[in-house]
Amino acid sequence: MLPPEILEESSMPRQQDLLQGTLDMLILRILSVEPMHGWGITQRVEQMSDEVLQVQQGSLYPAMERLGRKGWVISEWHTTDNNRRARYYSLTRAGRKQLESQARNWTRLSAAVNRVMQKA
Amino acid sequence: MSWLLELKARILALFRGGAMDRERAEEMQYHLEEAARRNLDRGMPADEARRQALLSFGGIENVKEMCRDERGTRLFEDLMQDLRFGLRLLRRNPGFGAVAVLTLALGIGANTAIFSAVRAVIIDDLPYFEPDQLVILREVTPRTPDLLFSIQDLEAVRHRTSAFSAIGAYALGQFVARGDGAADLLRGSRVSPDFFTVFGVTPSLGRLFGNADFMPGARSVVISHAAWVQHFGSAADAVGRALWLNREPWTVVGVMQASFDVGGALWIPMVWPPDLSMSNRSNNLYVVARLGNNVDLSRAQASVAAAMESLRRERPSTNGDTGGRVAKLSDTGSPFVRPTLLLLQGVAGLLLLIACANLANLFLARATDRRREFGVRAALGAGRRRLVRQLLIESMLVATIGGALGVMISYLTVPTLVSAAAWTLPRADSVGVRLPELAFGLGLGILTALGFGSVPAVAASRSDVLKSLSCTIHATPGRGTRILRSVLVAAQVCLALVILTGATLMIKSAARVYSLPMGFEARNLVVAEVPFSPSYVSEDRRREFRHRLVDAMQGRLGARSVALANSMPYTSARMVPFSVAPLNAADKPAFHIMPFRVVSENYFDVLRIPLVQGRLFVPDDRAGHARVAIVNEQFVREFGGRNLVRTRILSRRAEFVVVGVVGDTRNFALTQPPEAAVYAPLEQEGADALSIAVRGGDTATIVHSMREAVMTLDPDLPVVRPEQVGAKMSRVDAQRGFYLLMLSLFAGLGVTLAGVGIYGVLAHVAGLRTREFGVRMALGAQPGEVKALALREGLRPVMAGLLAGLVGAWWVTDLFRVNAVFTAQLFQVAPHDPWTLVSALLGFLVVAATACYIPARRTARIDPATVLRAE
Repeated sequence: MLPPEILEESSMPRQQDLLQGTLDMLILRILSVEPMHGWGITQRVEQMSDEVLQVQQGSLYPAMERLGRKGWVISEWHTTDNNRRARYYSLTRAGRKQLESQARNWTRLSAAVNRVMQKA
Repeated sequence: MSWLLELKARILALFRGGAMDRERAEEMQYHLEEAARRNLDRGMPADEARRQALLSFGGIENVKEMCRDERGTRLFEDLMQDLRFGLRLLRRNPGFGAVAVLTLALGIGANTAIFSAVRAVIIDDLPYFEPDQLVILREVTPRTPDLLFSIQDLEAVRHRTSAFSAIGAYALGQFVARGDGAADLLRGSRVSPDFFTVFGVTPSLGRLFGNADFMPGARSVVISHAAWVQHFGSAADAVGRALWLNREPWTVVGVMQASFDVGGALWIPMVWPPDLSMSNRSNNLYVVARLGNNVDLSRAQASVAAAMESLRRERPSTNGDTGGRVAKLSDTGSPFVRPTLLLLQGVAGLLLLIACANLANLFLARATDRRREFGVRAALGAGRRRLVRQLLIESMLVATIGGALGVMISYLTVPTLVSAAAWTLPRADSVGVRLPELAFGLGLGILTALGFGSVPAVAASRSDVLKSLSCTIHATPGRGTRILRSVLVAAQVCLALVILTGATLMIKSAARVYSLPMGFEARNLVVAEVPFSPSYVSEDRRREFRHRLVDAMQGRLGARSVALANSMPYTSARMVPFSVAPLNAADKPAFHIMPFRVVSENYFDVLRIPLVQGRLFVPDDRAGHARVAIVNEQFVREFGGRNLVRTRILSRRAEFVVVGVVGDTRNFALTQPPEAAVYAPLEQEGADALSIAVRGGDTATIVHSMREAVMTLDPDLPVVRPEQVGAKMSRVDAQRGFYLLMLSLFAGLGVTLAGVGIYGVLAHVAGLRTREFGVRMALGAQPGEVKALALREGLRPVMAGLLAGLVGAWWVTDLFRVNAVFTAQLFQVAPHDPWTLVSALLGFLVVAATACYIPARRTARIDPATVLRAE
């Protein structure tokens, strides 16, 4: 099993290693707003991160498989605005709970990291 | 609960794998198209937009594969794939599959069969309530380490110890019993009030004894399941009906469960004698007890010992040297059965080891043939673990099929084996192949699969991809594999020789036993006893009964020969002291105790005992004429070997004139030397016991008419154990027969398996070296030389195995010398009998040489031209 990863666009000179599991949390966060298909999720991540983060397809779909297996998201086929069939993912109740706890952890963790970085 | 959800998702994914793949593909297709459209929007040309979308997506198949990994069914899917592949291989190579599966099935079948007996006899609990708490009590004196209790001592112990929650006793006896059908002699017992309480058993019908049943005059009987079937035809209303015991009516109050057989086939209340003085002490009580709460065996033992000690001080004249002994009930009973069964299980284990070595070699040979396949797979990216797993799964597959087949073999053979062993196996009725045996067999299969499967798996995982790709089919395997193969062959040869030696020893001993002359013709001879009841006090009445019985039997069976006697070989005999009348009247006669058979005139004809000297009995040898007797040759030998015809012999009460000498007979067991015997004419001597012998014809018919004839003459007389003398004999000798049968079977199997193993390896090697041999012959080697070369190399590991086997065999024969269980099996054969070793060795060598010769001969037939052209 490969670790979920978020890669920066290769053209960008800055390298950032993101923590494992972050992609899962981002997906859950985006789906918490509204149901979304895979393509839409990648677009939304890019937009919301001001194009800093780009989701590699090779990570997205295995992540969807994993989230589905854990019962955090479910999927349904719907027709899109331009009349195409697409698979929409939405959060389950367990997924919502998971998002809450992951978000809490993230806040605590990033705050801690920030404190260390500022004091040092 | 989240793990439950996840499990559900994984299981669903197992069945929906295909649909999930398709959905994922469609979804990704959509993704690609959207990405391309965005690129178009950004102003890229159509081709470029598509190309960039694909590029940024990465490998589509790769992503699909990663999704599948995430689904968590990967391992299972791979396993299924390996399994399907394994099955395909087996189907494509049915010869290999059949040999492998059969080899294993035989090994596992043998183990499972023995295990079913081991389970019933050793592992399973006795069918009583908390059987661990049950103990037996015995008395001990310096002369006899194992004495039954007397009622006086039991009462004293009962009042002096509190180690037991209940103490029960029973005294064995024989009863002439009659219910609905014919009378029969049953073993039964008188039991104390607490007898059933100790075991914690309940009846299947009616009730057990209450206090009222122990009052004088009460006649209540509890009967066994078997007696219920035999005497009441399993009637539901048997309770309350009468069972005639020794011609007195008793009331059946209960029917016991089938599993309960302590004390025989029926139980009656034991009435305590009013006089408990020591003068009429008799040690006839079997004592069983249940340990009290928190009392262990050693405390119970100490408590009983203390009680007996105080008795010793109290009445030194009668109890001066009497102690007590306590033993677990589960540890008692046939002391030889446990070790012997375990021994057989051990031999079966050796057999499985041989099968295992065989399979390891088979799989090793096949792995050699498949080197290219593995090379290709490794080159295509299959990991070592995957290859090893593939090989292990293939061996598991063979093991599972073989294990299932083995359990089936044991299922089919165990009933036959049990009926052969019924007389030596306690609790034979609970021996059978059931669920535990199935689990045992399949478990053994998996264990062996790990054993024989890991050998080629490790060999394959070590192999070098490049080397295996470049080698041709005919390249011989590496040195390591060759050595491993020889070691495996040597190991199975060694094991097979050990088993064969043990079996040969026993076969030899059995041949000695069975070749002993019986002294009479045992085939087609049915013998039964008819014990007279007290109403046959007068000899006149008995004579009348005998005459009418012979008439009735001859009427029913035609003119077949029916002989009567007071006893026959293999029935209980009357022992009487006899002596030859001293030549000198002043000398005291020297009496020897021997069977005294009072026989009908045709007795010697019917039993086919040869006349050696003098004459047989004639009609004139009857009451009122001179008392005559016939002696056997052993009698003559014991009394000086001179001619005894027309001399006088003495019992303590009478004097006979010897009219003839007949041959000796073996009367109790084959292994017992013939004893001296005296025969007297029935019409002259009379007899208070009666045995019948009928020669020829169908056993069932004879037994039926015997029962019918006795029944019409007197329904109260039982016909006891009517059966072929052969059946009686084999019961006496059953243990030898059973172990002999099992060991011979195992030895045969072991030798066959080893032979097949040797052959398999050699045939494979010969196949691999066809080209080499072809080249040798093309260069001038004679076919004979090539053959000799192949034979020599094939026999080398066999010889090594035989050498190791000789050491093992010596150790096994030593076991026959040291261990009582083994020693008891031997008759007139020395444990270290050199001929046994030599004959086992030679026998095995013949098998091994044949197994080597067949493939070797094939190499000699190689046509060099064909071989060289084929390259």
